[in-house]
Order: sequence, then structure tokens, then C-alpha cells
Amino acid sequence: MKNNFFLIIFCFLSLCIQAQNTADETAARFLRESNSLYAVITILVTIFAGIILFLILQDKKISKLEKQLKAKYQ
Amino acid sequence: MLVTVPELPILHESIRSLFYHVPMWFAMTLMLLFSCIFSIRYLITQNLYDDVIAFSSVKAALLFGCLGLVTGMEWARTTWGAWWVNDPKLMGAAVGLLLYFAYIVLRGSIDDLDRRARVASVTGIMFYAIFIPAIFIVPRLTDSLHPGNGGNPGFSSYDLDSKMRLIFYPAVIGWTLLAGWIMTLIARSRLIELELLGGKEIFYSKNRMQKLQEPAHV
Repeated sequence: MKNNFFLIIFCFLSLCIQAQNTADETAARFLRESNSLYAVITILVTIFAGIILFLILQDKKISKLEKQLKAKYQ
Repeated sequence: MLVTVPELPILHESIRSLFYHVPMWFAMTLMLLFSCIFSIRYLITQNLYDDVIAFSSVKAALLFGCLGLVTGMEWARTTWGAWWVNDPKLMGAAVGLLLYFAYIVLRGSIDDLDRRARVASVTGIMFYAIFIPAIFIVPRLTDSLHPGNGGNPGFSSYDLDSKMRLIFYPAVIGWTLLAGWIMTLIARSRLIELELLGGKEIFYSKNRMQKLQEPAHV
């Protein structure tokens, strides 16, 4: 278990190191300066949150229906 | 999401929002079209099943419409510089969403199943006829910040290159199918609710009249 944990950690560490070495500098600077990718991320988070909210509401509704079913047939 | 995009001023990387914001409206419009078709069908068949589908489509459409509006605001913040601009397309969308919220409230305010379904069907068809021109035709006649409106070229004419198309069209299909699935979930729970209330016969007007002497409270 412990070995696996360190294995995973070191895997990710190595990824970071590689990424920093090979990153295209101009592309990275462009991303940082424009800030516009954050808009895309906000949008993704919004959609995710909206769908999760819908699922929670639907779950509540179905629980209510299950209670009604129980009351009817028992 | 990770496809290469054309480098454009103002938009920069936020052009990737196209894969999320625009399909929301596609899904919503299709759901509203569904609602309109099933409202007409209800008026013909008088079968509550059609009314349930129409109502569920509006609910799914509202979910996607609200998501579309909020994501649009977030996109507008970075590209247009404000959360909300008094753009004809935005106003049309906001008014249309409010209309459909009013539709839900109107439905909820009528207790009698038949009358509720009839009134909801008629208003549903009417609101569809108001909503579609408000978001698709009016912005084209006046000025709008949206691409493709008011003399602005659409994304499709020069911005949307073939690589983006490769993602965009499947995204539209995928989100639309998701909307359809959500609609069926809402409809199925509603159908179970109705069936619990009055059995299978409740969907047909004639049977219901015999079975339920007084207006049902659902």
C-alpha cells in the first residue's frame, strides 16, 4: 500500500518535471496573459454544478415517489 | 477541449467555450420544439401522456436555457467586458426564459388535470411562437454583439475551422441527447406520479372523468 502510494506520487512528480522542461514557452505565456481559458473553466464548472443540482432535485423527487409507492402497496 | 483553435483577438482561448455554451441553446431549442409538438399532439389526442412529455421538455429546456444564460454571462465577462449587456439576443433569451417560467407557474396554479393540460398546451404553443423569433430573428434585424447577428459574421463563416467543427458538431449531438435523456427522466417520474394517483386509466380523458369525480390535487 505504502509502496504504491509513493510510486504514484513519484510518477506524477516526474510528469511535472518533464512538462516544465518541454513546455512551449510562448504558448504558456500566451495562456497566462490572456486569462481567457479561465472563462472556459468557469463555464465547465457551471454546467457541471447545474447538472449535479438537477440530479439532486430529481433524486429527492424519486425518493418521494418511492415513499408514496410504499404507502400505497403496504 | 484540447483541440488546436484559431488565434483570434479578444476571444483568445475562450473560443473553446463554443463547445459548451452554444450546444446548450441547441439542446434547449430542440426541447422546446418537442414541447410544442407534444402540446399540439395533446390538443389532438387529449391523452395526458403527451401533456407530460410537453411539460417535461419545457423543464429540461429551462435547465439548459439557464445553463446557457449563465455560461453566456461568464463568456461575456471575458470577451465583452461585462456580465450583462443589453443585447437584443440576451434580452430575447431572458424574456423567453421568464415566459417559460411563467408557463410552469401557470400550470402549477390549475388543479384540474384536463384544464391544466389544455391551458398549458395552448400557452406552450404560443410561447414557442414568441420565443423563437425573439432569439433567432429579432437579433438579426437589429444590432447584436453575437456572431451571426446584426451584420456580424457568424462563427461558421471564418472562425470555425475544420478542427473545431470536428468537436463542435459531436458536442451539439451529445448535449442534445443528454437533454433528451434528462427530459425522459423527468417525464418518467411524472408518469409514475400520475399512475400512483389514478392508475393507468388516468391518461385518457374519458376514463378519468368516470374515475375521478372531483378535481385531483397533484
